[in-house]
Parts: sequence; C-alpha cells; structure tokens
Amino acid sequence: MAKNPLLILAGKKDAVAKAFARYARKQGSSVLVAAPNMLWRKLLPQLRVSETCEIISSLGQIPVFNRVGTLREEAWDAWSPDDRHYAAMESSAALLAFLACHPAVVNRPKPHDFSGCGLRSVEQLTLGRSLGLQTPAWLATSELGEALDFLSDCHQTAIYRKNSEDIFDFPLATQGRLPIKENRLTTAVFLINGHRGYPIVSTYAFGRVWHFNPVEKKPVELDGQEGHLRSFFDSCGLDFGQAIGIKLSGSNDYVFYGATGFPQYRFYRELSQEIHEILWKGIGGLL
Amino acid sequence: MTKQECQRAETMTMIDKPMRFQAKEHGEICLMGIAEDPVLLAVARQLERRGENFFIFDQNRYPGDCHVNYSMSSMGLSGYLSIDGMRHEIQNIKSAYMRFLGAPPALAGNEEQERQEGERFLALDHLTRVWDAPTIGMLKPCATNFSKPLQISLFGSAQIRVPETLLTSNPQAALKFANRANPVSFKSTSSERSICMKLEGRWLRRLPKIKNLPVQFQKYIEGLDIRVHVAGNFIHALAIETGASDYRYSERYFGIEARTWQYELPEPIKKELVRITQSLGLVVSGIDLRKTADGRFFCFEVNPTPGFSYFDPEPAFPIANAICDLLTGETYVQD
Repeated sequence: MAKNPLLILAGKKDAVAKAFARYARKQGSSVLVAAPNMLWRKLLPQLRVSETCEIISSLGQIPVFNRVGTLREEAWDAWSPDDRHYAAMESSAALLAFLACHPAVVNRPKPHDFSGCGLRSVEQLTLGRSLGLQTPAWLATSELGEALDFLSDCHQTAIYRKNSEDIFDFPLATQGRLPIKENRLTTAVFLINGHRGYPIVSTYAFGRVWHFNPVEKKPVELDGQEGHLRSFFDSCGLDFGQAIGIKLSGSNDYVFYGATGFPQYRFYRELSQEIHEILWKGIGGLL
Repeated sequence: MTKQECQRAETMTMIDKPMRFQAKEHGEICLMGIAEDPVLLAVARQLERRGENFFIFDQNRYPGDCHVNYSMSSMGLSGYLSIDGMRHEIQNIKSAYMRFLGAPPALAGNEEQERQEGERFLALDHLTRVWDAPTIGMLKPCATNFSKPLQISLFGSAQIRVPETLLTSNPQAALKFANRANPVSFKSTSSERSICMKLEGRWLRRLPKIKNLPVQFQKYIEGLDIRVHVAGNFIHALAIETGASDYRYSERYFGIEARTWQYELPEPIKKELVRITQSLGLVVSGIDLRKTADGRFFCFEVNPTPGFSYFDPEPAFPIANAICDLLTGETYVQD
C-alpha cells in the first residue's frame, strides 16, 4: 500500500483539485486523481454489500477529496445518444455508493447533491436568514407579470464589464447566481436599494473562514458574520464550502446570496496554501 | 459503537430526516402530479368520498393554467398556487402529496426543453422544502433511491437482510462472484427501471462489456415475493407467486401469470419495515421483499414514490385510505 494514499475525484480542468494534489504530494502523500466518469475504468473499485447491509470498498479506507459537481451526460459522448442518460444515472448511483462507504470524505455527498451542500438556492436563503444572515428579497414565480413587478421593486442590480461594456444584470443580482469566475468579476459593482456594494467570497474549510474581495483581489474582514457563516456550513454538513455575498460600501451590512460545496479560489492564490493546510489537517482528522 | 454502526452513522448524515408528519388542523389538501396518474387519482377519489377540501396541481398544465408564486419577506414565506385563475394560498395548505413523474416523452432529447422542465420542477421542489405544509413524496428523502447500494447500506436491519451484492466494472471479479454466489442476478444500480435478470446464458457471454459501466450483481434469493406498502404506521402486504426473476415483468416480459394474495407479515417485520421507511426520511414507501423457505426476509429496494394502485384491493382501497388518513390528520408520524 502506498504511503498516505489520497484519492481526488475531480474533473480534468479543476484547478483547485490540481493545486491540492500538488500540495498533498509535497506532504508525501501518494495521490490518485480520477475524473468521476473514469473512476470505474481507471481504478476498478469493487463495492460489496453484505447481507447485514455493510458496504465495503476494495480501495479500503483511502480518504477521498470529493470535487464532483454533477455528472453530465456529455461525459459519455462516446456512447450512443440513447444510452447516455442511462450511463450517467448508473455512474452517479455507483459513485454515491462508493463515496458512502469511505470513512473519510471531504465533502460527503448527499443523494440529491454530489457536492454535499444539499440545499437549493431558496432553501439556502431561508436557512441563512434563520441563522441571522441578512438575505435579499426573492420571488419564485411562473407568472411573468409578477416577476416584472418584483424586479421593478427590488432595486438590485449587478454591473460587470464584458468586452469593455458595462453589463447591467438584474437576474444575477436577484437570483444569487453571481458570476464567480475571475474574468467576469473584475469590475463588478452591485447596487442594492441604491447603495453601492462589492462581492465577497467566503471560503470555509473545517471551521475556518476566509473572506476575499475578488474585485480588488484582496482579503477582507467581515465583522459579525463569521459565526453565522460557520453555522450555515455546519448545518449543510459541508467540510469545505464557499459563500457569496455583497458587502455594502460604507456600512457593516452584508447580504448573503448563497453557497456552494464546490469552492473555487484561483483568484486568491495567496490564501490557497493556508486553505490547503487546513484541508490536509481536516482529512487527517476524519480518519 | 461497531465499525458498521460508525459507518452507518456517518452515512446517515447524508440524508435529512424530517421524521415527523402531522397535517395541520385546518386548510386545503394539495395533490401535486399528473391529474390522470392512477395513483394520484386513487387518493383523490378517497378524499372526495370523505368530503375533504382538496385540489390537484397538474404538472402537465404548469406553467399555463397552473402557476406557482412565492416569496420570503420579513413576515415570512407567502405565496400561492393558482389553478385556472383560482388562488390557493400556501399558508392555507394543510398537507400535500407530491408525485411528480418524468417529463412528457415529447421533451426527451430536446436539451432546451429538458432544461426548462428541470427549472419548472425545481420551483415546486423548492416550495415543498420551505413551506410548512407536511408533504409526502418530497424529492430530498426520495433521493436515496437514486443509488440502490447506498439505500440498502442505510437500512441497518437485524431482522431484514439484503442479498449479498457486488458492484463492479471488473468482468473477472463479477465472474468470480457469480461462481461463488451462484445463482446471481443483475439489475440497474440507479433508480432507472430495469428488469432483474439471472446472470446466465447470453448475459454471461456479455460480461466483458461491464468494463464500460459498473453493474450491480446480487446473489439470487429463491422465495416468495412480497410487495409491502407503508403509509405512516400502516402496512399492507401482498404476496406474489411467479416463476419469473422479476415479478413486475412477470407477464409482460417472461410470459408467466402471477398469482397474488394478501399476506400477513409477522409483527416484528412490520415494525422493522416502518422503521426502515422512516429511517430513510420517508412517510410512504413501497418495499420489495422476498421470504425464503427457511423464513428469512430479504429486502431489495425501498421505492419512495410507489405506484400502489395495482396493489390496492377494491373495494376498501386500504393503501389510498391510509395515505388519506395522513393527509387529513387522522393519523400521524412522530419523531
């Protein structure tokens, strides 16, 4: 058996997984990286369920860093179109069972969410609000008139630059689906009820939280929100997560927009070493 | 705590267990799904017979004649479901029974339409997650059925066993298991429908193909099929005698006529099935059991949205009535 084996399940382009794999190797770990749709071809794991419902993996007790978002049918594009859906469903089911039987999994998935968060957007806002976080007004509707009335009332706008033009984006601001990719946030400004604000990305790993302003590319303090955000991630059952919110300029107000069990932090590399250390210790602690 | 108990406790964190179901005292009962679905209709007929105040939110008429609208403010959650212009306030919903079925076949293969189908479904799924109306058939607890090995690993039952199972993409490992556990059957790992077949003849020759996709193999258990429906603390069991490896396809696929009769399960097994249902976060379930000649009970799957109408005997319709009892508040499930 290799020394300190670690399995990272991640897509080929996952920069966080790659960076963490490099870190883990430097720590002397023997790291296996597998794309979720290739797990069964690459590592040939076997799962056995006994008559008494015990589930055992042939890969033993190997810790797993789960970076699976969703399994998309496109991953099976070599298959006939008629079979892709079945292949995706079967692979998802097998992967869920695989992750369920390993004792140390950073972010243990939920049957309805591979990333482990398990809460949909309005559910996140409802939970966040119950934990003391300020949340935006939201509406879910299938009626166009109601949607337009809501948008005209809520005064929430995201502006970001694309091809040298300011793009005004109402839906992104109101649905909590903020653009989190580096190149789409460089000049983002948010207007909430007329107040200017800027986005804050809060990364959570095993009880620690780091806040970052991706517009100015620097860490920030977020007074009074740490406990609420920690409680949020604890309630979700996430080891490693990321929240997105808006901090209003010139005040302490912070509006929580949502969270994910699939953190990205390429845009604040200076913190990545610290996050890796916490993740590494956390994985050790799970064993 | 044994290793197995630790593992199960860890895995159980994967599901939330809203294991309390008590209808509100007042309000309307909401049935959500396809209006022509025999299962939804069976519940609707019993509610109608009892003179209960209920409405059906038809997924095939949404959005269109049916709409959803809800938001959160400082006053809490508010909104309505509307049907042909008539609004049903969500605060006034006493309980709900949700049985969403897949997208109409016309949508299959059209990516944009499938995406829209997902969005409209999610809006309703979100609603049932945040409203305070006790709801049977919420998607979240139903999701354990997405992975059968995961689901059976969550049972943790001393009295009810599961068939020894191997999930693998390795043909040699599958063959070794088949030789040892002989006879062996195979079926889908996910909630996708498949016919449970014995691994023999042409299927054995096709075994090398599993390297492309893992397959679930199970030791074939000989015995009497029993389909059990659980609704709260109510249990209904039907024995099904057929020579086929999968009773559901007995006539359609295997051409074997099935014989059914009501079956009285031992009391400890009944209690265990209620416990298993509730441990998965469910209020209603359909459970496939097989009883061996030596009296052991094996469980194959817990269906969180059972299509029970075929198994619900006239004229009493006990399963539909047990669900109605929950929806009206005559019975309830406590923590």
